Amino acid sequence: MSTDSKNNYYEILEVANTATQHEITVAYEKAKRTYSAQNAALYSVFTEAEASALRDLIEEAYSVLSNQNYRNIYEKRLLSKSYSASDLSLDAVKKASTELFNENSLLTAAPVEVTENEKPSYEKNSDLETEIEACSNWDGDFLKKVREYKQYSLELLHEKTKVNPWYLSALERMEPQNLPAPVFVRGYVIQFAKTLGLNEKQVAESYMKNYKFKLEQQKTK
Amino acid sequence: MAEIWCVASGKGGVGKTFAATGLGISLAKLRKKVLLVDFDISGANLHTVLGLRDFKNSILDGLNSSATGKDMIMSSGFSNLDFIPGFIVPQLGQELCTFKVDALLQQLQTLKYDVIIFDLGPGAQKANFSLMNYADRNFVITNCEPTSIEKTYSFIEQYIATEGRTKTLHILVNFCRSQQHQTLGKSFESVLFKKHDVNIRFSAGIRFDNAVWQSTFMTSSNMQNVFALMPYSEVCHDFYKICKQLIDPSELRAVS
Repeated sequence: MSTDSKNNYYEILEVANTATQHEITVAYEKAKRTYSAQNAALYSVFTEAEASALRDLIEEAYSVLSNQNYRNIYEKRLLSKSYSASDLSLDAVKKASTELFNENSLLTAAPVEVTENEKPSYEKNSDLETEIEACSNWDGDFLKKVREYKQYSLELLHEKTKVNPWYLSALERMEPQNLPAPVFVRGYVIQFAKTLGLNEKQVAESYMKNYKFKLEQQKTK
Repeated sequence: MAEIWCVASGKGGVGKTFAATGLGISLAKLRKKVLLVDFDISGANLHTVLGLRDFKNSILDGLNSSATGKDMIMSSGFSNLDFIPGFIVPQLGQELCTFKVDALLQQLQTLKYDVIIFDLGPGAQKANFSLMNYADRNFVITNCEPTSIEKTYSFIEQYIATEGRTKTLHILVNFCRSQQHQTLGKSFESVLFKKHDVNIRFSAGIRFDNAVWQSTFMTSSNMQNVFALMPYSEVCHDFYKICKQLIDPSELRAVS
């Protein structure tokens, strides 16, 4: 065995073809230790250049064998024996793997693409618009009303705000027992209002006043 | 038929003779009948390691056919362990070694030993190689130092070049002072496999132990082997472990 000839990845890591993932990882760790520049056992046998070439080969072998998809492709090619050495390299295996993935993905339905800035359309209602403009006392019910008017579902709002939908509905029902500390609730309200295109500062201030009132009420009960 | 183990090394002073006695005593304690033979023609000192001084015959008499195997054999002081001393005066004609080895071995094989251990001289010499060909297991002893590592590689290279890959080779790394040294044997296996396509079958580390130094720090009148003086030291434990693994890896054995 010499360093320049391209060997079977299993031979490089010194494992059997039937080795488990764990065995491969253990063998890789061992090989890495063995051919590290610090190892005295390399002295007089491998030059630094040869050792570094071996290290590269070990890394390459591990990146193929540690990935189950790559390993399957590699093994198939190895067994069929009709593939040349260049078809057995990491790059070739990687390429085959992506091709295989694209092929398979054509068979399944194309995933629905959601663009980031998409907003649901809604019919303008001038009465409600003015009511929103004039509102200075925000509570859960009114937030819900605005949300439904602007055609946001809880799921969509969750996607936009990254706030748990459970919390969002608790916000609307104003249930302190289902919500975290007020400082977090305030953050949620700001996100909520921002997404709906409201004046988040004003909404949060007014909502939190109502929310804290409710909190006190519940404590005294 | 007795199994024959050879203890060789590329470099002198790495602990060949010490390893030979270590293996011998450990096997004897594992209830094997063991015979140690000093084949170091460059200067025998197996008797010193065992703490023995006076003896009548040596291996030279056996090779000259002036004494039978039985006459040469001495008790080592350990039960189950006997030994044949080497030349007291270094002999020049090194071809002597191959002279009547066949006849001598045939005699020794009739004596009902389980294991016969040869302690060879250092270096890649023809006499050593031909003795290694008689063996079932060949142990190559090495240190963790670059000089020793280099000589070990060249020793194994030359051995393969002259005698082929048929014989079983084992590597024992002596004077291990760190975990890294302990795994050096495994690195040897991998390197030799990749470079020379040699299968090393077994390798192990033997820890550096002050007990060995302490055991040599005695007056010559009451010289004792480390196995007699401190049988529970780390170095003794390592030898027991190696022997247990080699005799029967699946069986847990008590040391008597």
